[in-house]
Amino acid sequence: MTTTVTASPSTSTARSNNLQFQRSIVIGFGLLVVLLIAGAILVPGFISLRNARSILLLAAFLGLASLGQTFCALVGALDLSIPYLIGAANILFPSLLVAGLPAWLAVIVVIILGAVVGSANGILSFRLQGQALIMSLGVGFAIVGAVQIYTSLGTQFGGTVFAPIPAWLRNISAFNGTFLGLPIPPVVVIWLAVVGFTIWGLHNTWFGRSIYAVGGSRTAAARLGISEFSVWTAIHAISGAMSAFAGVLLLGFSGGGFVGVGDPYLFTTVAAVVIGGTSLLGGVGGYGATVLGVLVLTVLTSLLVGLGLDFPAQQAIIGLLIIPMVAIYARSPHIRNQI
Amino acid sequence: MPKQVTVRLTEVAKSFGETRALKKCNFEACSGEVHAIVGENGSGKSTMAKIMSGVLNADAGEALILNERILTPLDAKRIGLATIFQEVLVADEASVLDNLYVGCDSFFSMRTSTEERAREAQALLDRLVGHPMDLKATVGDLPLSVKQWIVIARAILRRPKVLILDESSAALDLDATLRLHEEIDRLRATGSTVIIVTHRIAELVRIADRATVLRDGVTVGQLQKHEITEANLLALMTPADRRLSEAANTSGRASQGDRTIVLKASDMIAQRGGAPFNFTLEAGSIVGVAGLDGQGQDAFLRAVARILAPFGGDVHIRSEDGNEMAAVHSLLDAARLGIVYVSGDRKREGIFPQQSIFENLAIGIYRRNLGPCGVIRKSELRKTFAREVDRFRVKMGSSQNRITSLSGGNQQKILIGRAFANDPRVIILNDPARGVDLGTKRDLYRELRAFADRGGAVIYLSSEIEEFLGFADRVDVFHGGSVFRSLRAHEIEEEAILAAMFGQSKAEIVEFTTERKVH
Repeated sequence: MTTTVTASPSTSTARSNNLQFQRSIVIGFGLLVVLLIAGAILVPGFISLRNARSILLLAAFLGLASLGQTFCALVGALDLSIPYLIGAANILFPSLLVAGLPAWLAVIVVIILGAVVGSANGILSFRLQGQALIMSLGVGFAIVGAVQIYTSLGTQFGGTVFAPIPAWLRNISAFNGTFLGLPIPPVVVIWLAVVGFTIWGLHNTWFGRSIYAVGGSRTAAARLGISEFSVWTAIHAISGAMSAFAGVLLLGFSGGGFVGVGDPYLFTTVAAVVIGGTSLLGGVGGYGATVLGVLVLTVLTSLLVGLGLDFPAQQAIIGLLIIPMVAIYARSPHIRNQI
Repeated sequence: MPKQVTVRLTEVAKSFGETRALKKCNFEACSGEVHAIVGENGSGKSTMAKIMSGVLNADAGEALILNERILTPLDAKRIGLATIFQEVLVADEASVLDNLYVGCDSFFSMRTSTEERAREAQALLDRLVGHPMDLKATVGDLPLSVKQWIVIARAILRRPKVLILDESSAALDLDATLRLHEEIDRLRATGSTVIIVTHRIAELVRIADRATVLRDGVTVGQLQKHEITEANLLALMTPADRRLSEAANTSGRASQGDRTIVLKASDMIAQRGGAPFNFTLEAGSIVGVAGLDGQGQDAFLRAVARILAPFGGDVHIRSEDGNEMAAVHSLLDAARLGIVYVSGDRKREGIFPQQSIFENLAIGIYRRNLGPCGVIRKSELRKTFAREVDRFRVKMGSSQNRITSLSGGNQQKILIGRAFANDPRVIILNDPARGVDLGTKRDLYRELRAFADRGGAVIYLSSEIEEFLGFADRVDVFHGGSVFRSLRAHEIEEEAILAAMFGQSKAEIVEFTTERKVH
């Protein structure tokens, strides 16, 4: 930059104070590489096209579900309704198909409903900020319960809803799905497009910058006429829509609607955000970081499965991973290193 | 009592990343003296105070307090050093008494009885605040000035051998400052060392026995009592290339031609219970706003910028084409119509601490540089950023560094740059020079005057009367919630403003201040 007015003492000005955040990216990459090497050595067939495909497929679902969580974390909120909206969408969608809606319309309806519930969640948790966490959890519970009541009314399926899933949806989310003839599940391509657009949008749009502004200092943002309420509502709406979308896509993956399908995402969406290095206190981080966190989590899970560990052991290890991660990034620099 | 050296810093250096806050610092203070540390913002004063109190450790050199090395604030407490920091650090939910004695006890036992404490605290606090205080009151309900006193009293109650005041009088008015000085005298008489970090030159001329001057992280000189004059201090503080006599007084007023009114506030009720008043702002003018704490001047500024709605009345601004007056109903109206607001409380309502210097300025002008779908057009932003950084001579490293890597004064320059970047027509500044050095002030006065000369208008609130002299075209003094007196250019002088602040005539106040000085 040519904006240095007085000669600065050191000319290596590129080394910035955002080191803290950059460091978390470096650590994330390092961790990913270490996990891949460990997998290559310990698990036969870990480095293979087949495994890469399955990792990317699972990462795509988690990645889409974590987008809203990242946005929420950037303003210092947490959306705990994500797993319930995923579950609700997962059973609502097939029941809409059973009711006779065309599949494309059902997808749109479910996503819009997700956005509406999300914005309601945003409005409520904004009004009751001290209780935002439990509020989002409550909204999630209420919605999943309501959808369960609705779906079991017309059918005898109860918790699991069966419906003929359209072939295109199966192709999008299936392990052996193809995109333009290539052996890549289309959901991975969708995710990559979302990643590119989101990262670009966070840095180059007024909405993206407003999220960082509100997360950094709500009073300063208010003085600039940035409405904290609008930002808060919008990101929760996006989170709701993305959860619903993930719920629909997961149906193509599993083949049958199951209300508990979202449950793992309560922990993993937050974990992906934290492992990526986005501060839960707001203002620092981004979706690129979360993508890294998603990949680390998915590769690790795949490695643990490959090692033959059962689910409780996997859970324990992933849980333990969070502690050093939080210790490494979530700390603000010590007062001695601040001006 | 023989004087002995209590504080000694030798060749102390301290860096924060690339910023070298202290380069070479030599300092010495004795028992029974009041020693001032003076310098512009970013010269390293606060860093020096923090090193003495053990909050920071030096990278190089040696810091000895009472012949001991201090590594943590706990060490400092043990050997009898107390520091009053710039920030007003109180627990809002606790009582006054608990706030005064916080940290005095060990985890399991109390050192002194509550009754004894209450007696001691009562005497001191009554003396400082100037009226009887209720020690059981919850601190959160008390005004800022009383909170400031609590922080000061807390340090004094420790009976410190060394007391450091880091800009602690910033929130105090004149009368209160005099009471603080009496207390400092008392401490000096008992043989304590009092170190005052300040940029209020008038204050230290009155009270300091010696003064050490810092410039760019280097101690450049020490003045004895008789040498401490405004001229000497300024000469040491300002680098040679900037030692121009372009202080506020020479920024000069614009010619008094016929002026169009750009902004008008009618029947304003800024504060609950205040009388309605009118306010006009002419193109090309700088209007100063003064008042004692809580007399409605702050609320008035916020109401004009529509950060808060007033209790009554409305604000109109002349439209761009100059023909009609448009009503200002909301913050967004104000922004659209060219009113910008700069707060002196940059930590709370100015900066985005985790964002870069560039982002902190650019965030204010994104809205003006939006393409379709809210996409930001970045090309213009860089030019504007460079222009503002240049205009205010911001001292910084890379524009991508966090804003917190800058000194307070330079942070404020970025925020004022943010306001200028909007090409406003009316700039409202709420005590922008609080905690800002002389160089920054000069740059600010110069640019505001240039802005007014281009046809802009400025409302400038300050808690330091000196700021208005030779700078403002008019000073509106608030008392009891509304404008008590409006002083024209030729009437602007310290005594007149002071008198109006107290709701009195000038003659009375002259008597009042001379009486206090005799004390």
